[in-house]
Amino acid sequence: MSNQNTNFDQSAYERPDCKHRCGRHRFWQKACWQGPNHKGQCGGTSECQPIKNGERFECTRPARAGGPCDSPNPDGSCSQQHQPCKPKLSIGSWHKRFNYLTILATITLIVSFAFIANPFIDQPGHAGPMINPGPLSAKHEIFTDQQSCQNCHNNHNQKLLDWFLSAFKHQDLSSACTECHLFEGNPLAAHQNEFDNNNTYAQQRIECVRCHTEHQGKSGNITPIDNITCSNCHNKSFSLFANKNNQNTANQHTEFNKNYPYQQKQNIYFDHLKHIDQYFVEEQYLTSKRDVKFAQLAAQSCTACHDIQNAIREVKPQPYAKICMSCHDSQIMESQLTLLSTDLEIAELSPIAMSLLGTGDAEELAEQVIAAIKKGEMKGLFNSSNQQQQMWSGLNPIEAKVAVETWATGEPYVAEIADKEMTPYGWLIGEDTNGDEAIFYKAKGHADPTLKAWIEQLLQKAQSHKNQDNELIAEALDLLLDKQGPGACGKCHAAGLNANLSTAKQNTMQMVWGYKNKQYARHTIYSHKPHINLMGQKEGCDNCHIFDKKADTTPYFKHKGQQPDKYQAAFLAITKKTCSECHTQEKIISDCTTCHRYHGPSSYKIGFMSKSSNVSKQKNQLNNQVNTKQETSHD
Amino acid sequence: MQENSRLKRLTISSLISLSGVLLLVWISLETMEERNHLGHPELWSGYSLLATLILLALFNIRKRLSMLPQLGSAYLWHQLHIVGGMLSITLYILHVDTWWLVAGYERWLSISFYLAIGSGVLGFLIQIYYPKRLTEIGHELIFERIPDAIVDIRTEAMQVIEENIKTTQSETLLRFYEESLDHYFRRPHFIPQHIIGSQAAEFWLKKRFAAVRHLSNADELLTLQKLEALAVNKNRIDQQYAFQWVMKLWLFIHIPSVIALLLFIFWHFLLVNIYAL
Amino acid sequence: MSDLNTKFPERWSNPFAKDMGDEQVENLLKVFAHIDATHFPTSLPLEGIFRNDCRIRKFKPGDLIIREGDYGGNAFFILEGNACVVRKPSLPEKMLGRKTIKKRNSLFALSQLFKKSIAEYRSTNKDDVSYNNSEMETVNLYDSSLAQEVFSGPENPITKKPELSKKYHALTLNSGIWLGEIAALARRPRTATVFAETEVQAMEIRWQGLRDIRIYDEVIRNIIDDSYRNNMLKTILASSPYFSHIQEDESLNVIAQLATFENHGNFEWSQSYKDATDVGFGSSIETVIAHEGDYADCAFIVAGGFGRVSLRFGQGHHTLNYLKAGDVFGLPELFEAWQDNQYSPAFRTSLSTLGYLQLLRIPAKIIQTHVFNKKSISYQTYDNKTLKKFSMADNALLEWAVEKRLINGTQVMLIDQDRCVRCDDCVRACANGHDNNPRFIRHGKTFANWMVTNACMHCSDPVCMIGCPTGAIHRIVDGTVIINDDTCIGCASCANSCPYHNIRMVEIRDKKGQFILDDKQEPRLKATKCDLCASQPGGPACVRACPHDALRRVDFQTQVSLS
Repeated sequence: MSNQNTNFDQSAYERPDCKHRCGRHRFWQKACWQGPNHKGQCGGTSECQPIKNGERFECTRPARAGGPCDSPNPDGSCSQQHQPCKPKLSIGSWHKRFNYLTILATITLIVSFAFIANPFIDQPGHAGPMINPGPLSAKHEIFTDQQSCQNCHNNHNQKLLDWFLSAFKHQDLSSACTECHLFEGNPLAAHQNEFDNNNTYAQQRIECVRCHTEHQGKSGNITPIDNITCSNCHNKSFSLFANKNNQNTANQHTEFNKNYPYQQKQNIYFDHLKHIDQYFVEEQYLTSKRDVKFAQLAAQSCTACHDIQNAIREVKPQPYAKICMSCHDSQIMESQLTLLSTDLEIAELSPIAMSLLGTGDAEELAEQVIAAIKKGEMKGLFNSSNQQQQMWSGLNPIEAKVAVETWATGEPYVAEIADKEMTPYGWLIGEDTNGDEAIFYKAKGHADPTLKAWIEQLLQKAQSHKNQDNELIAEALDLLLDKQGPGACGKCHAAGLNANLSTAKQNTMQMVWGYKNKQYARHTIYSHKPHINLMGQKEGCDNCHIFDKKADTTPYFKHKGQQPDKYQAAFLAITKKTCSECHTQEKIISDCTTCHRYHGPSSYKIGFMSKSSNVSKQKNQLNNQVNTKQETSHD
Repeated sequence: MQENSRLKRLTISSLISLSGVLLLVWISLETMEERNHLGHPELWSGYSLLATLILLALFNIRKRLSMLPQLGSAYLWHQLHIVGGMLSITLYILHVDTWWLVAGYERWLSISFYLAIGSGVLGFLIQIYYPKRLTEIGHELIFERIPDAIVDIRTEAMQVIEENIKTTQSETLLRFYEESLDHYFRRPHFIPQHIIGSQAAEFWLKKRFAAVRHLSNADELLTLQKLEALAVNKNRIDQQYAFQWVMKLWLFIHIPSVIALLLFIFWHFLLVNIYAL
Repeated sequence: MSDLNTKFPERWSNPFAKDMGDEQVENLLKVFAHIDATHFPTSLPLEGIFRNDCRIRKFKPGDLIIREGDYGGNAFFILEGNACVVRKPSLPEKMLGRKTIKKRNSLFALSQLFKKSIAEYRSTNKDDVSYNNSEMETVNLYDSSLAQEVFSGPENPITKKPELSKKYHALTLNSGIWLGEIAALARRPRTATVFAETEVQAMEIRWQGLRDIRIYDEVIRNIIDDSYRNNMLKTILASSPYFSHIQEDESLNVIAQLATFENHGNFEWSQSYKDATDVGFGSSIETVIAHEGDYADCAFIVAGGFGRVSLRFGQGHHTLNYLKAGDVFGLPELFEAWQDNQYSPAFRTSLSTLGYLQLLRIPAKIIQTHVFNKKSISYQTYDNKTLKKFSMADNALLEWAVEKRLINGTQVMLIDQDRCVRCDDCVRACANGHDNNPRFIRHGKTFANWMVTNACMHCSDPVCMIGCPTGAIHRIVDGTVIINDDTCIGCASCANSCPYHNIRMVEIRDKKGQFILDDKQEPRLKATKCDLCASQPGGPACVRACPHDALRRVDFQTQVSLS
């Protein structure tokens, strides 16, 4: 049994696109056959329009509405009249209404809460919740009182059309950050261009906001970075430094570099192993000239030599006077630098002197010098400079003249001030250690400035003759930098220089006299202090710095024929395992930022404070941070 | 005919699904690539999501353009719409860190997205389940003609009762009609029960008819049979009404939520590009 | 003369021509004096047939009288002059002046979306439709741009016009010849083009009149039957793939002698169908022509109507297939018998009538001699195992469709109710292409989950076209049945004829939304129905519009049956 009559005269077309339907359906009555008209008004108040057929009127109601009725009214009007209905909306019309309403409501919501300030926030100029993504951190908040969002977002507070069009132009939000925050290098390059390689990712621009997201609220700290951020770029993404059993799983930090932290070659001839195993303990070395007590102490404890009180990234050795002098001072004063010597017949210049004077016959050069001495114009033989003056510091030209004239007569020179005891150092004229009459110099002590000047002058000369074969200069250097050379400077200080000289790439011949700071990658940090505090001064070093007894240090530490390529540190490399004994899950924090930094040294641009109206208040708050700020406790 | 159609539909669905998966893989890879150098992964996922949502919304326009054969069949577009909807869920997950966004308009954006997707999935399930139920019920009726059909039943029921009164001179059935059937035949009833598939309506009818059967004589019983047939028919109509009503109602949630979503997305696009990029 | 109580045919209230005066009727009676008027009943007098079912047409030389391929319900009788019938090859299509539906371009189609018109709006500026509007405007072949090429023969001494080129096999028909009677009686397309060679005066009679004359007059019956037989037989054989190789006239004559035409069922099956379905039951199996298991001594070619091929199943019959004009029954059995020298071939299936069935019965021997011996053709046949393994559910839809005569349709709108979500997008799409007026309703007969919607099925035997007084409802070459809205007078004969109730009469409105009234102050009606979006780009929009692939237009034979 079907509920619908499908006959052509009983069922008319359905029109889903019509806006209205017969209102009788509202009351679950039968719809009229005419339906609402195109204006949405009732079309069925009469069921038909009777026609006149002769004298009578006939009903024209169609079959689908029931067919003709009994009879129209005598006046020709339809006898089946109804109250007009109120047509109801079709489903399509309802859809349209809902859609328009939604559009209106959404736009109203957006507009009203975007451009009208939120009355609950007591700060004028702040955008409503439809724009404002949340309050700023406390540190940045103080900058927004005057110009509000425009401090960072240039397009805010513009005219509406400009504001809208700025969506289609490129903005540079990072420039708002770098307006106040300074960094070494390009702040938008990965690690500030520390790695100058061809890695395409490293060349791309990394916006500040990729890692530092503001609008996290007043207590939000935007500086700390979590491990996930680092692992965005570092493809070997690891979720932990090491697991508690130290098993080598895929999600762990990579192993350290092979020779960490001893990659850098020493620039001072100090062989740890020899000292610890021999010089500090063997009887033959513990002579009266040396501080035996100190040697014994040094043999036991690293801190005898290394300055643990100022331990940061490195635990630097203490000054010479504290740790080396007690054994090495006597060696310094033993040898001499000869300028001119004579056996009362022939005067000779030392090779060192000759190399500085330039090319020429040895005899002629000697006569030149003698002539200059006689004239009192010896200093003029060499180019005048501060270094030159230092070279001749303490040399009495009158005395020299007298000595040379005396030697010319074949007589030894005796100082005029006979009763004055000859000082054992400085420029000396008379009989030297070899028994010859000479003008010579003896070091006063460690870091003798005259000898230093002579060495640096010779190195300069060697630098200018770098690409030429000059035997004299080579001989002079050999003499000067020999471990038993004048002042015994070369005994300790030529390691880095020799390494330089013997490598193909000789960019500069420069003696680095002092302890050379290690060049550390800017992005890694380490501080000894907390580790020493935890592990103790005496035994703490041994935990990580373990002597490598098998290391062959000889090739590097020999003076003649040094093999810098065969440098081997006296210590075993520090492996990840060493660190992960503590830095592991459930023990001590081991986030990326524990040991690594993305930015190098940073500071603020001068005058950034003027951005805020409340300068004095801020000055109080940020008193210590106005000047250049170093990364806390590292580097 | 059915086998061919099934094969054709399967081919279309498979091809479109495969394309959707490939697209998702590609966008995911590009997003990951972007993330690898701290670039702008949200741009990839965001613009892809926008493009997907616009494509989904275009379906509504396509429905009005069936007179243009160049646009392809509505079935093809529907399959694209379904796969696009799934794709948009995955792109949303790629794009957004958390499930519940807190800041200002983003909360409204996410709410409208969830509403749109949720109603879409619900609508998908409705469109699978209810047509088959309608076929099982039979008595197919165009939704807009249901009131007319109910009027016919009502009229017939009155006629049957009037005839019965003339024959039996008893007003038992009239009273029964006034107590039970008058209200029942006025409009569709038991709509929520029909929607969930409950038999509450049949049970109610059985109870009422059982009650009056005891009070009826042989003639009245014959009339009752006719009335019962009408009541059962009315019940079928109610079921038709309930199911078709559900199949029309869900769109009243889906389309407005999509409209709101698109407007919020436009606002999001403006703000991101003006303030954050 | 009839008295006032005599009930004449209803169609005579709409005479074929208003201007059939007494003189013309008298003239016709003289021409057909050999017909005995007394054989005709008083309710259907011969004079009445001439007055109400006929009209006189005048053609100039070159005028098209009949166009090949057209569906028409009228026949012609040449009263004066000569006509030329062109057999093979057909005349160029461009010459024939066939009206084509102008397809709208995509932009126009799109603009329909924004047109908000009143329901069933018609402009009142157009003139009233001429009642005598012929289904075909006069087309003169000599006016065509191809005339020189086609008429390249020698000059006709009588007409002084060039004759047809020699490549055309043409035949001259003199006065006293019937034309187009096959198309009229069998409801088939015109088989050849006929044009006037000289000035021609012809009587045009609608098929009902011809049918009635044929019933009551033996002479006419024989003439028509012979003509029908000769032409029809040759047409059937020529169009059948099994017999089209037979070119020699001798063979054809032999076949013509021995083959017999058979008519089964009711030619006006549509009326009986409507009566039957209106009371709620479908038609059961009708006349059985060949029983399953009978001795197969012949094969059948279907000439018209529909036949059912079935297999005995329990107490009933299981439909395997249905046959339309051109289909063959019994050939595989004969072929196998001929191959295996089997002497007693039996029909494997039964053949019965579906409403009306016209068959050409050809004896087995003829087929063996003229077909099997001369041509190797692959036959499709039903294997016994295949036939026996059907379950009851197989072909159930087809069974039901056959029962409801839905197999008549070539573009049946089937909606899968399990997939349809009742969104009405199909109806909206239909409306968008027809000035906001949908042309079908989403209801109809259902079987299981299939609904046959009340949308025109574009039947292979379009009974709706019978009786259209103006020819507004016509069939175009691809088979689409279209109502020309301009020429429709709203008589509702098509709507009444359609057994499936797929044509609807609508009250047309003016721009104010008021009904347009006719002379009698009644709302004017127009017949409307699905036209397969003939004027739209891309075919039926309803199919494209369904988002769930629930709606399709099917031809039951090609898409549902086993063949």
